[in-house]
Amino acid sequence: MIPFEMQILVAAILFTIGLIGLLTRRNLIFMLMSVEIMMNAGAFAFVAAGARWIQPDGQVMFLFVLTVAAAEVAIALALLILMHKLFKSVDTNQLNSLKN
Amino acid sequence: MFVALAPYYIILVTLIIVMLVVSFYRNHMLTAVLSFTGTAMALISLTNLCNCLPWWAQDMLITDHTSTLLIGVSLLTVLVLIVTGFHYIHQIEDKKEEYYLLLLSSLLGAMIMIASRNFVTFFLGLELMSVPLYALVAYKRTQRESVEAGIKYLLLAGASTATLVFGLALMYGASGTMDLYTFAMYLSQLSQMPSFVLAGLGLFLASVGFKLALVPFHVWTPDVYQGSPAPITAFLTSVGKIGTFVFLLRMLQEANLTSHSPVFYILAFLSVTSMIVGNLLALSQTHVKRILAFSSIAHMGYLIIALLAGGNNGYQAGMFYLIIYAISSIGAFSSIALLTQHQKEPNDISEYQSLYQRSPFLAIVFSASIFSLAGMPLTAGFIAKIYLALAGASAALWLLVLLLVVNSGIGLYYYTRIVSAVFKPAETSEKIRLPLVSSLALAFIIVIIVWLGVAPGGFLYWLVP
Repeated sequence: MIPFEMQILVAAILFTIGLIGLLTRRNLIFMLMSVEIMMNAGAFAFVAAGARWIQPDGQVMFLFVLTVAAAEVAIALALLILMHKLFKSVDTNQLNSLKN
Repeated sequence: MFVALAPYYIILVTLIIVMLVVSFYRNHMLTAVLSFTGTAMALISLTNLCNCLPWWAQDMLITDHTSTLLIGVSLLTVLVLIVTGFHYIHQIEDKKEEYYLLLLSSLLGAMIMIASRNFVTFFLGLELMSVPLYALVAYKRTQRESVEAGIKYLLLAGASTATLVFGLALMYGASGTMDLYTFAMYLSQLSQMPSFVLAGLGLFLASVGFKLALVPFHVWTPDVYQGSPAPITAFLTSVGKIGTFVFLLRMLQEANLTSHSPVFYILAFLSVTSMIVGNLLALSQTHVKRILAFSSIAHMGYLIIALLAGGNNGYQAGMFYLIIYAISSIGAFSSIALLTQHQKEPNDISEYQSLYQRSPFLAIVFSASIFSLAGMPLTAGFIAKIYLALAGASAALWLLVLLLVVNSGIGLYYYTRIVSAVFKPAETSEKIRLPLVSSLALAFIIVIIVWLGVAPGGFLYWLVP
């Protein structure tokens, strides 16, 4: 069996990829994709943890995370359409109307 | 079982009824009245919980003194927001009714968070609270500011959720349990923390820090507070923070985590930076909602002192401060909501000039709430700060107590700037007419602020189980 540390390492690498994507990309669609990668990295770590203790809890949690991520994306895409209507762009650098 | 979980069922049923009514017959007044009735019934059902406490629901939820009290505060908050939000939402051209639907589902999530004793319920409650909030923040969807705030909140909250999931997974992987109390027992038996638990706790604290808007996870706060509708800002500052704070409080108290030095220093760092940065950044602002956003960052920094103090003193001071902060900020943001005319919120401090001439009652409620946030004597905020300082002193956290006192002094500058604008006379002043029900809600808030500021004894005694 693959050691638990290695499984968590894979999850951590995925998480870092998502985080780097979120920080460097400026296109809203790509940023949302990066957030999804981060979420899935966390969910993957849950599956790994569940497998370590031979409990179904980790996989149940994976399903919950998946559902929640889907709900988030539904709202996110609605906001994306609104942004395109109002700003004529999906570049997050355009979001600069809020300041003192 | 039904009695202990009655508030959740009532809110859920109200949610379904409101959803069905909205889909068949759109009427703003009817929707508001239905949501108000449901929330009020949930509040009444809380009083029947008497002798079955504490009560556990299948390892998932816990109904004890703490959760009953804070769910009561959340329900009261939402009642006030339904009343004061009615006037605000009525100015939006179409699709007014969804406000109540989203507010109630967010409330249900917050209630679940408050009562959660398991990582699963905490995560689900948090998401049930946050996902409707993304939509609520962007509710004025024809305005750029609102949509911008919604997108910023969504992206950062999504990242913080992912961090939370990863942190919880690491803690579960190390301990083999997702139950808060079993996990706490596991932690208290450790002499040295394994690196997995430490990393997990770090990620968990980062995510909690985001939700509570602690420096350095605070960057979203001013923008989101400014862009979202005023009643939603009120919800974010009060109910949005209660659930996260309580879960953190339960975890720290059960596991006696603050005796582990890494956790203690992380929390102390968050507290110190939040107090200082929040107050200093607020000084240069002129937009009232932004000032209150930075002040909320500072307030959460103060609140962490109660967590670090621990024990019964810390519990009492933390709960009292949390409740008073929630009520005071509800008062301030509800007043802003009621000042809104033709979808135009007053932004700059100068727009609050002569408020006293336009509506003396509103001016008094607004200033009382601001004074309570500042911690002026005779308001509840003062007593809350005193108890916080006492709790900190009894745990010998001298640096933090000193910073609390110094920062309260700095805070006075920007709070009094707002209040002096309110009472400054101006020539052009048209009267503001307040709806009767909203006036009652505001009167309720000011009575609580003054009552707890003058005679807090009974309430404080009642806080400790």
